[in-house]
Amino acid sequence: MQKQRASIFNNIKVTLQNKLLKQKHKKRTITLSHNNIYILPSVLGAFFFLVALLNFIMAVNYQNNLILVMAYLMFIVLLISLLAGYSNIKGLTVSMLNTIPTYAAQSPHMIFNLTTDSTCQGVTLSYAYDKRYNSDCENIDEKITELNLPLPFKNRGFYSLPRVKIASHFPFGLITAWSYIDTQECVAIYPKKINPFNNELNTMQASENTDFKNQLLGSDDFNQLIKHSPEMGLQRISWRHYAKTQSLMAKQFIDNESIHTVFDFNQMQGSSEQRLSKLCFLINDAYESNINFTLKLGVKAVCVDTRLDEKSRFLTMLSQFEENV
Amino acid sequence: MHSVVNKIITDISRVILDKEHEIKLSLTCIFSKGHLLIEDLPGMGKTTLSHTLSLVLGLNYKRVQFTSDLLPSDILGTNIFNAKDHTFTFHKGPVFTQVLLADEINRAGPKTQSALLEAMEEKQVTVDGHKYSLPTPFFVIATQNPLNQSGTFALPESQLDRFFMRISLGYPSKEAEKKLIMGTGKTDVSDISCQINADDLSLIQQEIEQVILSVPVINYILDLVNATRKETIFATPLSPRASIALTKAAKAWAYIEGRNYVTPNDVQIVFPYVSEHRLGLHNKADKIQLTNLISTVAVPV
Amino acid sequence: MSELNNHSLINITLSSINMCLILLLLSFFSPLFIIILALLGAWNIYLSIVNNAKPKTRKLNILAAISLVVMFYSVGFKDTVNLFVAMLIMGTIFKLLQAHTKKNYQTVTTLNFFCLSAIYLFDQGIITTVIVSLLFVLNFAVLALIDSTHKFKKAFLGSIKMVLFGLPIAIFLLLFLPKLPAFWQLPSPKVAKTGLNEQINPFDIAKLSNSDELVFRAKFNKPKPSTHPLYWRALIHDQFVNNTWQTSKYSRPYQVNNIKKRLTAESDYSIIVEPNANMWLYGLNYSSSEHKNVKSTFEGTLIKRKPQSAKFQYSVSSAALNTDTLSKEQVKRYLSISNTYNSQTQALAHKLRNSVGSDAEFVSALQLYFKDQLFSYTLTPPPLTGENTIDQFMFDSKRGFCGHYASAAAFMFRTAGIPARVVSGYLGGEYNSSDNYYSIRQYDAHAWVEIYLTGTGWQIFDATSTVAPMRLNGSLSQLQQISDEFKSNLDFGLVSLSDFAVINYIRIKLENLDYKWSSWVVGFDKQKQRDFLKRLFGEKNIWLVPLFCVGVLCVIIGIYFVYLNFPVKKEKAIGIVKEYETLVKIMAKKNIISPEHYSPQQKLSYFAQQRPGNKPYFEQFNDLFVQIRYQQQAYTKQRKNQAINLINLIKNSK
Repeated sequence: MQKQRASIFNNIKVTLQNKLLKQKHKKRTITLSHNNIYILPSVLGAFFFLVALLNFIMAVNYQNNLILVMAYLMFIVLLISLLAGYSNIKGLTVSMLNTIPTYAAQSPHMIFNLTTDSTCQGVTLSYAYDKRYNSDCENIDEKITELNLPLPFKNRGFYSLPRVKIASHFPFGLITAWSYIDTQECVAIYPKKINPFNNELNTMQASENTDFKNQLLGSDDFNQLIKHSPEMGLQRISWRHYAKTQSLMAKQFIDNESIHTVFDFNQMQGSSEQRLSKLCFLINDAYESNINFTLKLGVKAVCVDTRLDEKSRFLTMLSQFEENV
Repeated sequence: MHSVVNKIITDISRVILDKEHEIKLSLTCIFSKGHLLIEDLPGMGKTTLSHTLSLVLGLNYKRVQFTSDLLPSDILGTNIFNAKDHTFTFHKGPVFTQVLLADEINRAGPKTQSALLEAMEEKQVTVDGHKYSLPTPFFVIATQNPLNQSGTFALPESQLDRFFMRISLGYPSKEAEKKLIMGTGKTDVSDISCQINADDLSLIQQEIEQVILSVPVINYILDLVNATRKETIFATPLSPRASIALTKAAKAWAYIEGRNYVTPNDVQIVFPYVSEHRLGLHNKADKIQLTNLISTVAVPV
Repeated sequence: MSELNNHSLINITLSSINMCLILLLLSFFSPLFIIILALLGAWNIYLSIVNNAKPKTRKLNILAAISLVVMFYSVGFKDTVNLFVAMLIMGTIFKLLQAHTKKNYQTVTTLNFFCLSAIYLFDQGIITTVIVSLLFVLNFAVLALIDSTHKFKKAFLGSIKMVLFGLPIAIFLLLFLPKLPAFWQLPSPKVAKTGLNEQINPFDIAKLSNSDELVFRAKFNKPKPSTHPLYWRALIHDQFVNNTWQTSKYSRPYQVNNIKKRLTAESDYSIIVEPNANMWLYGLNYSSSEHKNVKSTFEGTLIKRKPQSAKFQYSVSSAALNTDTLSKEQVKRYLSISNTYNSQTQALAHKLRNSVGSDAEFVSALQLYFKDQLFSYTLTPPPLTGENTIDQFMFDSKRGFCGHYASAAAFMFRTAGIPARVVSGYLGGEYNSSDNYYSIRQYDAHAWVEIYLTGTGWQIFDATSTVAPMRLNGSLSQLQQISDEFKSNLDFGLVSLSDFAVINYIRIKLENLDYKWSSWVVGFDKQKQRDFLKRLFGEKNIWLVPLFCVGVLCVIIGIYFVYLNFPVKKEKAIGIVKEYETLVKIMAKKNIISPEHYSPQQKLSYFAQQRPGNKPYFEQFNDLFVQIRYQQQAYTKQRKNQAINLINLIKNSK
């Protein structure tokens, strides 16, 4: 019940913010200035103000000048903090560098570059709807500081990036000076990699030859020992084996031949998420061993040359996949 | 002394045709008291260049062809038992010379390589606990086959750092090659006369020390070096030793160019030759990255 | 910044602040309570030093409950302010003991601001103020520490800067912002201290001389009033019961004298009372005051209208003691004694009275008697016990201090039929000539007798004047006769070291400072503010004050804001760089923009390439640039002019 109420409250907040915040935050790079900085006392600041007020009342009631000075001083410090907080964060330039996509169950990251012409202290970047996802930096100056902001996404998908809050409590934590950066971009979480052979070996006793690799003799990977025959030459003899067993054996190597294979969503086993996971594994594997392939997702089909095309493009396709489409 | 430098360059150019830039670079290296690494395919004139250099500079010269079975003692020398007076006498190896041409250094095994590199660093040789100093000046001009050739042992990065510069001569221009084929206009190595002696060389080196290095140039060198440290593309960023080498090279280059001050242009010219081998760059693509790097670093005013 | 970075540093600093608070409150709470607080604070520091985890909540709750019981037991419910402060400080310490998140520490720090203010309820001395101010700064430093990873020194310096900047503004506000009247009545903290007592037992007053604590200061408007001794009256004891002189309900303060008939004031002065919980105040002879919190009683003593323990200042006018004829009841009251005990003394009184003709003569006869019988003044009299203590004093020991003499003399007067009462208060005081004020300390406490003689009215009889005449002028500290005894009796303090010239000098200076502090800072009340503003603005323009306040505040904040946001000036360009940059800008205006990474020389030759007509100018400029930047030649005026000329030539060419 409470959770529900909280989420309703959150929803209202988000809608309100979306209405109030104008286009000026929708940039990849934002330089904070008077028209995009918001500043208010923080919760601590409000508490501090309350204590100052109590001090003031106490001072007036006891007609005590020293307490009165303390109360005034506290008010002034609060006021100065507002100004100092503003000028601290002013001139800060935050720009989104890129996003780091991940495989499911891991959170993706956003990477920001922060720089300022003077100095800026105690800046926190946080995911606007969930403060637990944040990342902070003690001191920023002319040099570029890189900050890594984790995002609260775990499942496969293609997410539009949330608004990120840039906040500072400097000085004394009495105030919050904040702004937003809304990059309007997306981040992909690729499906979790699942090896289809492990799984299917158990269920259907798949044959030893995998269905997409054609093996040819080659020189890359050691495969097995075979009986030595005179035409093979001496360099391939396994001398270690000879020392042990006195029998001449030759090492045989294989190459994974780069023939065209097809990864088809429909031919995978399991639920659609599992299928995507397996496809993800296969694509990764194909890239590791430089195998060209064709990727079939529903009605779409793409031919991929692993030497020319970027892997991330196809992994993103997987993360964007929706079955009904 | 500077007038001599031009003469040296013209003299060498008579032998190595159309390679003035490389000649100047190799002089820069020698004037900075550094060892030179020439990386090239066989038959490009590496040996000729080094021989000519030693002749022109009036230094004595020895050459060692490195092979996989070459042992450290073959270079450094060895103690030989004298049967007459029952003592060991030290038989000096080819390293005891002023200019040593180590041909195809990457063909020798690591043990032999490091024996030479130690001699280069310390300017002395230790055999059986005895120290023998090498003559001064002492330069090593090593040549190296491109690494992808078979039967080579790559020099590790830490040892490559001992070489002040790495240059490659490259193919000659069409004109020059024509002359080579025709056998005209080219002077033979044996006809080269000595222009200066070892004392003159140290005088030149002293003059180079006097070359003015202004603050903006120092800043530029620092910016460049720091840029290699920031980028993740370089496996081994430049060390402080490299920045010192860069400074020295820029000074020597400015001197060869006839100036008593360094400009950022000098730094830009010598930068690739001083830093490429230290950054572990081999192929062309890597070298382009370095050029890109230079173009991203703003020159301080 | 959600995690705390320097846990132990913050914890230690906060508990040190708490320990200082406890130290400052040392004399206002019972030792048991203080010990408990100190133990809790020390425990916390220990935990931080050995890097142990904070105690569990359950353990703390039990501990808090126990401490609460101890607190209620030792502080009591009577004094609400004390109880409140005790609870506040204990609560803060417990909160700190269980604090482990950033938020917890912030709460504790903010609460500390309140605790620090509460100290001023008890003590507004200059030393306390200095300590509390330091703690205040320290507290801000902790706030800064919580929010950053700064080193302690940086945080401390930062908060000093902040406070130093804010302090003048706060003082300005204090001076100019109209003072509000108290919103509602609040009880004052009761300050438990040794002092006068409503019941005089001769033994009690010897205890007073242990203390060199300041009681009040008296500032005379005119130079030093007169040479005769200053008897600061505080309490009148008119009832003699069980060998003690008590304040009867008739003399109790609530008999208010509303009649302002005694306007022939002999002297006017003002008194600054140190904080104390007593109701009575001090004045010379027959005093009256128009201060709103001071009542004048029928007997000419002053009392507080409502309990207030804070330091405050009131002005007094004093006239001679009452000469009105006593009513029958009054005579009866001032003559009543119990006849059962002290028969020897009674006999002596009767004997003396009979040997002289009038009451007035009896007075001198009694004085003479004290002198002839070799009575002596001492702070350490032999203990007297039993019912006939006055007899023992008069005939056996013959040694005592003011209490003994006053008690005995009043008893004898009453026996002899002369209305008499014992008055307690203070005698003399230490005179400070530079500022024309007296400091009256606890050891100046005194008791004397006032007798009523028909015709002349009330007058003072002080047997001490016969026994130790020096005591009448100046303070007890200046009394040579018993100086050693006095000093050895005194608790260790600056006064006890007054033999050393340097220390005495420092003591007097401190004294002066404290006087000024209390009269100018602590005593800056509404009246003083009005006077001050009147002097500054004139009577008519007083309405300008709030405007002036707001104006100045805005200006200060505005200046600060501008200062904060003032663009940082770049380092001044050296040599030809400025000219070079101008040239690049000019070329940019002409739409010739060279690649960013080009060196200056390359840029210049690029420009020359783009503008072949200006090539020689660019080349000359290049030469200049090289000479100055790379060859490190001097940037002479000539070269500068040349550079500017070249720029102009390039600029003006098409």
